[in-house]
Amino acid sequence: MKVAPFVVCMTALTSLCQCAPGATVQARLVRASNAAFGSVVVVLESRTSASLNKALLGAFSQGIDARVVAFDDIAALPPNRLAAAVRAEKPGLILALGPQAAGFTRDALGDIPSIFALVLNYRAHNLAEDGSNMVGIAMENSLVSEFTQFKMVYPELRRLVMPYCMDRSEGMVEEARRTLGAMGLRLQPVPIDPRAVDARLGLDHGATGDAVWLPSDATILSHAQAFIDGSERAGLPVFASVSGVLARAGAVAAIEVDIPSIGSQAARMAALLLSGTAKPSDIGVQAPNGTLLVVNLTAARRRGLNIPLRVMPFIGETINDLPQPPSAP
Amino acid sequence: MGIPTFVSRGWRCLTFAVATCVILGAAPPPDAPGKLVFFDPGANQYDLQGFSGAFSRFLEQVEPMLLFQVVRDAGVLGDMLHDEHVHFAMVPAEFLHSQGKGYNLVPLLVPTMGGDAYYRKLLVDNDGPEGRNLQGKGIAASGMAGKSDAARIADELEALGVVGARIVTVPKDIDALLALSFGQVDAALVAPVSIDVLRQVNPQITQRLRTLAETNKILRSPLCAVAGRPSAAQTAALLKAVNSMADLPEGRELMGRLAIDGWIKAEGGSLPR
Repeated sequence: MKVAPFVVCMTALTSLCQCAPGATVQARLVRASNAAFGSVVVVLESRTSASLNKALLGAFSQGIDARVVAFDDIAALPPNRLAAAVRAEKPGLILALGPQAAGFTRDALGDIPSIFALVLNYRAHNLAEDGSNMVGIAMENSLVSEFTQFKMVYPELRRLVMPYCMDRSEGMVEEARRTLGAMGLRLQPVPIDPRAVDARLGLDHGATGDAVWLPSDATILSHAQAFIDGSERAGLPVFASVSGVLARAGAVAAIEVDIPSIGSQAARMAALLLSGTAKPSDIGVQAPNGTLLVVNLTAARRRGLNIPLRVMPFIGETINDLPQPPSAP
Repeated sequence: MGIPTFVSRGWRCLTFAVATCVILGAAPPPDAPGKLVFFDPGANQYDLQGFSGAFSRFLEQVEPMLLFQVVRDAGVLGDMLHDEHVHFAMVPAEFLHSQGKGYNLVPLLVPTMGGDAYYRKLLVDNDGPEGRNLQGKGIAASGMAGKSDAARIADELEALGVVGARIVTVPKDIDALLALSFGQVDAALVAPVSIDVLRQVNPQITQRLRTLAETNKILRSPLCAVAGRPSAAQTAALLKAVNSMADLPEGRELMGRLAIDGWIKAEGGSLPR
């Protein structure tokens, strides 16, 4: 399977970017759990992340002892009417799903404690800034988690080549260098000029390492297939952040966020905030604590990598070109 | 005006398909292949398709042919065990103890790791205060997000004297240990082998781990026959294949997925103590 530019963002991260205006469905109360609970949690859903919202809310609702009131498609109501409708529920907490809902909550309901989730690159949206009532769960995995799992798959890993976009990802380079250093590994950053990406795709500029890491960098990911192909030509296995799609496209392993786990994590944060056990400033923005490790066994075989057998139980999805039976019931 | 050809052909196909289904549903052919069903809610539930593929490839060497099927739910397993084509089953020991007789399940082999048919889970924290009460605290454990896995984990914790904790389900033990390391939860319930794997890769994460409690020993899911269904030849063929699982690449992959490295006989149908 080949991955086209932007496909990565559009599949694994299904429509997490700002949605287009002009929604036609009225924002409405779509579900409310048992009213017997004392606390009320209002869920505001961006329409753009509908399928992810559902997966997340299923786990959230089961993990929280509160009346959960959900409004879908928040773009359908004028902001002032939506804010009034939310306040009428007297929520102790708001769960804002997607960038639209998170931005609205920050701007119109900032006095109420809130949790955001399903927002890519939350820093760019100015969410959960110091002193705010908002906490959240990032969509980016912690690098510790990612590198630990890459090393599980490839124990011989010593030096990781990291193509990154100049001007945008220098901070990530430093964080990666620090994290890898703590694990006794080395980083070889390879700056990529976003205006001339094609010239560097083959990684034929002297980069040496055991493997290539495709980080959560929009420019790099938009050329993911070219990097995977180039790394293959250079005989290097590829490990990728963000999406399992990249493993399906030929990377040896990729790590993506497990959405139901975010629901479970949000429920835990909500419990802390509603009970007064923690203040928003105690919680801040957390890395997602559920990850899916997707491993392409075919690509690993092609690169001569032997995936340690003891790692097999931790793999969330294996890609194998050998015949697979139909899905289990 | 006659019926257009494609409609007529469509009806014939549909009629044939319905008739075939009715015939198959009413009386399955006696020579249909037997099945081995697998049910283990404690196993990795995320890659069941990959697991299914690996098990099916392994079973290709068994003659007479044996199909493999994973089930995710005890109720579905019960229904399936009524199917006369289900000849073998791998089920949790708990299921075997509680319902095995009703389904005529006879244990044949039990998986082992390092020669041990049992394992324990550990409740660990990160060097917290002595004698801490975990009521209301967050405990991460692997499982699918949902009520059934949360209930299973709550039962495991209750047996350790931990009641009222907030269970944070994550896909795998490694995630639970990482969440503990990041301070996102107060404790984690994991298998010791997961700590070992993590220690080898990133020892910093495990160096402060402290074991608060360990579960009673848990028997790994036995491979059972449904008494009276498989022929002696089929049972012998399956046992031979399983006993030599480690000799084949696909067998080794399967053992890795099952987190085992051997099998022992359930002598006379009794489980190892």
